[in-house]
Amino acid sequence: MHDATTLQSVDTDLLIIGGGTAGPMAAIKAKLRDPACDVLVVDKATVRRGGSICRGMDAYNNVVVPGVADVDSYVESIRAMSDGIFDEKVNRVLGERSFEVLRDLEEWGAATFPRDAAGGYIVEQLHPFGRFLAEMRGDIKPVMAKKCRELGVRTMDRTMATRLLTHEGRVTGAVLLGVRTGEVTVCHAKAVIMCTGSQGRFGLPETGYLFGTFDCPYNAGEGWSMIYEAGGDLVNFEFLDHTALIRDFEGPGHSTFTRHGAYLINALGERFLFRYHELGEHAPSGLRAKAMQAEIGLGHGPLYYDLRHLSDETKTIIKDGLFSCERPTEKAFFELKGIDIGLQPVELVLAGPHLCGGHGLTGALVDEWGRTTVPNLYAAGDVASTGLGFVGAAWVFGGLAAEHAVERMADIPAPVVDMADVHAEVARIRAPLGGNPVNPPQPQPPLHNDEGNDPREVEYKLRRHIKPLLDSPKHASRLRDLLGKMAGFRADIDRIRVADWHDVMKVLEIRSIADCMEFSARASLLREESRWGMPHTRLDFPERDPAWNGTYVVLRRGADGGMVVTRQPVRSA
Amino acid sequence: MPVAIDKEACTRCGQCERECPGDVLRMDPETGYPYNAHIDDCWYCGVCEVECHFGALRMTFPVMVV
Repeated sequence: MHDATTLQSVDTDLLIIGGGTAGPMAAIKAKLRDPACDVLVVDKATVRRGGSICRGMDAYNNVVVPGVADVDSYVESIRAMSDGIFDEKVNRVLGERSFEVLRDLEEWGAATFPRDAAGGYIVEQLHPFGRFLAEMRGDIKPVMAKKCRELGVRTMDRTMATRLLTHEGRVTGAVLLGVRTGEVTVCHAKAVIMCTGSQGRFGLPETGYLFGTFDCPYNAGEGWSMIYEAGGDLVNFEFLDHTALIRDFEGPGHSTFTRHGAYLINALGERFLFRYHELGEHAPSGLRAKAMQAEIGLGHGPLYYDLRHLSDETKTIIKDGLFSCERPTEKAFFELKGIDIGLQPVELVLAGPHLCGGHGLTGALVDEWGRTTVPNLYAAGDVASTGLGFVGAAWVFGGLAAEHAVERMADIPAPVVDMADVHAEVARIRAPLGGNPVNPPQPQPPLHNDEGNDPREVEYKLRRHIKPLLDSPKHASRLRDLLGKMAGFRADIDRIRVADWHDVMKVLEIRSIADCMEFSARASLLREESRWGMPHTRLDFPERDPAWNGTYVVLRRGADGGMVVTRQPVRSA
Repeated sequence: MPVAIDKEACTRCGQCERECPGDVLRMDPETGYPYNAHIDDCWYCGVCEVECHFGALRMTFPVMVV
């Protein structure tokens, strides 16, 4: 039995934090490049089922299939969708490597891609300038986890990374917490790939249910907190993503419905989007969200998906995709509600805001190899800003980062860990225990303070401020109001009472939620213009300002520990 | 409770506790059966349903959602 008061230690060449989508791909690619490279993947759930695609995914949203589309059109699509705030080199390499990933997944048996009668992949249009969305099926995760095992990848399930360790500005490992045991492990690593996903717990769902979110709620933005603390640059935190989702379930349907021809209608039965944009249901997502918000503001809500006009064959295809993977429990949800999506309008909710590198632009600043601004630290997937990268970015950059790290591994010196940093982090992790020693073999920490705050109430309190103070349409006064409240929120977090190690994990997650709120408010204040539609609309700066073209808002930790917010040109191609 | 557990079908193998992404399900050390330990943390993903080879688990959704 491990003693939760002593520290464990593990050495590896390549530490991969997060075993969801990017993580397993990175691990596999690293081992395929060099079987002798020691690779360790940690996940706060399990590599087999952790992350956003725990039940698979119904589409590979951004693959350039030869003969169907070309890389230039993909790049131009992302340029348009990001209003120029994008790294062309990053997106070009994503387009170039995307089809190779599809073939890998097929070869490994991880996913299948339905074909049409002529034998070609079924590829549909989501982007403005081409068809890049390939229908996809399969229970991807267990296959990827098995391939990791076969290649000798080491894994630590139920293990949460809480802090990156650095030496002379380079990443040299991480502090790891066993979320069921409280065991702390110091990991020495030559290189680290952060694959922790997005901020899944941000804007409060209308149900009030904290974990009823679109994206995986177990991704609470900790990757960004860790990258920030390690000195890495974060970008586009003013970009707030909103997604049309099935009301109450807060699950997918929008992409599946609209790419098969479903309409969006208001309570009056009107296909209202054409009043706002010529492309209607296929308008850029930020403009579409703004249109939905406006329509609701006019009192024309609720809004609905309307599939009634579609053929029975198309409805069957939609149901097959929607109910077989990604969030297949949506089928049971509709049955409980007595809803047949083919026969009646399906109410939607405009959910969010979220922060995500896959559905949005937010994330760690990376280059075409997934390198962050911290030496030996990479980022891949929704935690990285690769420009509306969807699932493709996770797979492509997971692989690129791994290959780059492995190629350089022999040149990276043995990692040096400063134990003072480790002890400081252990103190931070164990702060909710109030300094009470945890003696083995106790499975749960003692209650620190039975008058302390309930973690759910603290989280609700933080998140209920996001929509009224941070969300679009934004205003400097509301953003400053939110920033003024942050110290109080952090004090509330410090007084959370914990009943078990699961609650200790939750305290760390809620701290990351607070970090993300502050990142987003500060970034939103600096960008004094409106851009992208609903993701960043300012009442006090309602126009798009060309002076902000091709310019990031960058967040980084200053030498004095304070948050530095600056503008920086996007790297030219 | 978000997940209904059929104790007659359950073999107490522990697979649901091993794989639940949200750490919702734990095994009761006294009875050996799973129980909803963290009911507010369920994403209703249904991993528990597919990981159980005995059909002992059924998603009933958190009450705030349905």
